[in-house]
Amino acid sequence: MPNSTYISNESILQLWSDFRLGNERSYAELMRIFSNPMYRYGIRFIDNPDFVKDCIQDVFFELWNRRDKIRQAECVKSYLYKALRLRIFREKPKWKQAEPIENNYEFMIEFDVESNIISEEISQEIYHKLQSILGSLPKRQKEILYLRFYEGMSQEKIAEVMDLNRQSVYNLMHDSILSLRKYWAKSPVYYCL
Amino acid sequence: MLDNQYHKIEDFLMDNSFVEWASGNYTEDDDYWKNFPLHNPVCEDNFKQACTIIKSFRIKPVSDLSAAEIDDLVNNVQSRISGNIAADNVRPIRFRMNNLLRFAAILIIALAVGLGYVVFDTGKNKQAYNKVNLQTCRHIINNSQTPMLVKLPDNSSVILQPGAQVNYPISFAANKREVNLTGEAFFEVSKNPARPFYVYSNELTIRVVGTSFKVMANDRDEQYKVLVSTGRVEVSAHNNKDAAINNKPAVVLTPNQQVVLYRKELKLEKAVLSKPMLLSKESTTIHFNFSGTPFSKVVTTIEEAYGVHIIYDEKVMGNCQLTASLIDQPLDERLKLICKAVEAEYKITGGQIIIQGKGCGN
Repeated sequence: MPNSTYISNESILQLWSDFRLGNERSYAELMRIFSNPMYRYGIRFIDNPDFVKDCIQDVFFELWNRRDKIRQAECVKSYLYKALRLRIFREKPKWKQAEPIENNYEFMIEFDVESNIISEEISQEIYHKLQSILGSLPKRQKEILYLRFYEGMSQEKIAEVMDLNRQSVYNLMHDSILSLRKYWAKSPVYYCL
Repeated sequence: MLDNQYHKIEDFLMDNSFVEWASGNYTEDDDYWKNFPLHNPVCEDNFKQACTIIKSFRIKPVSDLSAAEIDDLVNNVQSRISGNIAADNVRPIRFRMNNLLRFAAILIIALAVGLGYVVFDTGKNKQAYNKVNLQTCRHIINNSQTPMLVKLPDNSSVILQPGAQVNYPISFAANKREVNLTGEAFFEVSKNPARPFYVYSNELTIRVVGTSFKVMANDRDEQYKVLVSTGRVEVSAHNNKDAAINNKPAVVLTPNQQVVLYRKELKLEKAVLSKPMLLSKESTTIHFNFSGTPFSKVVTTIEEAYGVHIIYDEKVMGNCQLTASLIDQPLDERLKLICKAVEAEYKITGGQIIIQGKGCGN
């Protein structure tokens, strides 16, 4: 999980509620809290820091303008991530009009080597296999893995962010875990009865 | 929670509750998972492996936004919201250039028509790029008869004397802050060692980190001057912008020093000021230590020190007095404190400072 000061969900929901009522300080605070998480997520779609920063600004600006119409969110993070995702897809300049945007993007994710090998949880060889599997996973699966394991989002929230139905998220997650699990497990798989 | 009896590794991994627990986050099912191997010894191996997998699933981090970048981001959004943007341009404040071509930091000097263009790099090395992008630059001219206060994207202040003009980007580059100046102005630069502040005026380049200083660089003058109030200022002279930035020896000025640039000869001559600058430490200790000082005198002190003009109603505020020590603050802090003491408010409209209050009781 990313290293950051812990802020309770209650505090965040409180800030969100205040911001909806027009509190600028709460709004600024929300921006400070979520800028980096949003950046870390957005940069995986397109490796262009300025572009991602612009999109984040746009999201927040829109948010302020529409604060009267926003409901009290259950989860601010997934709300913001979803908004950012939409914005990135809308603004990414290189996409041709003809192609459906949903299918034409990348999601960049890599395993962190050092800590894994050093702690001897997995060997070099297994690491390389994992890395190549991860690299060849379809982009949606990569994104789901990121949101699930790096951001700790539940499947419901992931479905909201990615605009998929829950069953799709479940299936995709299941597929990716199966692909990876084959190389992680050191002993053969067996069923417990 | 797992209902079925078939506990494959992926069953664990698909379970939200298990993943939360194995990642070290508190969950309501803590006890359940802690004791799971005890109650299900047959699945202990899979359970343990699932735990290992969760713990080792670390994704390579990308570089974060720095605190300064976050500040910029927040400031930009707030500026957009309050519509607090000087002059003409209603476009949103953007980091990226609308034109996605690569470019390097090139400074193009004010042309005869008085327009200036500034183009910056984004911190990485990119190819030279000659085209100018008006949408990313602010250009402020003081066409009035009185000094004009301008706030820069990093909260530094510039007070432009009549006729002076500045160009600066809508958002400063990540590693430096650059401003183009023609005419006379007083700068109060907010401190940021990671982002040095540059002022360019034709052959003159000024580099600071956090200081206050006056520049006299009128187009028709044969000599330009830089006078330092606080902090440390580096001044260099050159004919070609890039040469300036790369290793020309600079003259370093400390408070109450000035340098004269003889433009034709490109010569820099340093001198100590006979009278300390009004905003230097020595001077402010004397002049900004107010004790029962009439409001009008306080205002005059600020006006003279910064070269600004402050508008207020003498009839209303005339009976106010100030007892305060305003030795070491930037301009807006000083204004704030003064206003607080006399129960007034200040605002800056069109570069003018206006103080409004109800006056003071007895």
